[in-house]
Amino acid sequence: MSEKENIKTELEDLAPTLAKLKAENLGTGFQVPPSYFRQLTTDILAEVQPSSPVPSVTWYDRLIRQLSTLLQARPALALASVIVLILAGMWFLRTNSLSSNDVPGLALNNEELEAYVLAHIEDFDTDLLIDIYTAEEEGKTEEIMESPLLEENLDNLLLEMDEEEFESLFEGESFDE
Amino acid sequence: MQTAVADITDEQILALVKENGQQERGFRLLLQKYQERLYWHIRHMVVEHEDANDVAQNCFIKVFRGIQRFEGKSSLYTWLYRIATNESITFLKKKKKRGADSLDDEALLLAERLKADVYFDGNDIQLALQKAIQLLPEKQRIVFQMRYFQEMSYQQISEILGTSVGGLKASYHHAVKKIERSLTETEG
Repeated sequence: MSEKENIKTELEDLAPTLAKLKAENLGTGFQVPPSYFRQLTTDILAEVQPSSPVPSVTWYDRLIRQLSTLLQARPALALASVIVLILAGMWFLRTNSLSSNDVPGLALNNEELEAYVLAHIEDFDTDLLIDIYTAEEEGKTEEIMESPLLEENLDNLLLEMDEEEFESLFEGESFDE
Repeated sequence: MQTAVADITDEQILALVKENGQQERGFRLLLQKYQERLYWHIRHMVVEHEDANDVAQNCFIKVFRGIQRFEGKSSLYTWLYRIATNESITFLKKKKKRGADSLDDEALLLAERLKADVYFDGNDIQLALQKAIQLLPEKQRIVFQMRYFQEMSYQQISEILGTSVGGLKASYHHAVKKIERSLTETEG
């Protein structure tokens, strides 16, 4: 007995209405669009078939392609702008890194310095100026600048000086007042 | 041409699919032999054509990707139906999650959709049959469709679903009784 017969017999025993429906062979009433199964084959094969092979690209081809991309109008303009910005930045940094002494126009000569000191002579302490002057004669400027002369220091200095040093200090100086 | 495809054995198809350079030809033959049967198996489970089309395509893509690993422990026929059944069940579960809350609601919604479906031209009794099938629990619904529409033996269904023949017979009998009752009520 075929399976179809088995199913029919089974249904007749269990469910007469269903058995009758089956015997009428009405099916389900389901339909498919025209030429559906041919299209289904095409669709499935299109999904599973690998895409067309990609031609191999050498490094030279890639380089040429990138260069040609860069040389197009917009990328070229962008590239030029970046280069200008980098150069401007480098020039700005270089200019700022020079000190004022390196700039010839800003250097002061001795005459200008003396003129400045004379113009502001009242701003300096008289004693300090005298000490600097005398120290210049003996080459002790730095020492004095480091320890400004107080009255007691001056006394100590005088005590430490012998007669020859004292005389040599005032040698050639006139005290005409 | 159709006769020629039907005469090709599963072994011949498998041999072609696994032969270098012959995979496409083998798969094309597999489609010609099985796509229509599997489509109807899927359609009976998911009911609407658009859904069946999607599931069938997914099913055959999985078949194509997996056929190289097919070891022949079951027949090609069983393996294909198993994939189609699993794909349909997965689809129905996903659809159920975003759809109706109960089986009754689901059956009502399906009946409404079928009335509007251009690919359904069934009469009232066929519509009532589909509605009654939708009211069945999942396992009974699958077994009923495989036996009533696909006319499979219990042994074939058992191999596909991995369930005992006894269990399948019980499920089918319950399903048939419920549908009979539902149809009788509709007629009455």
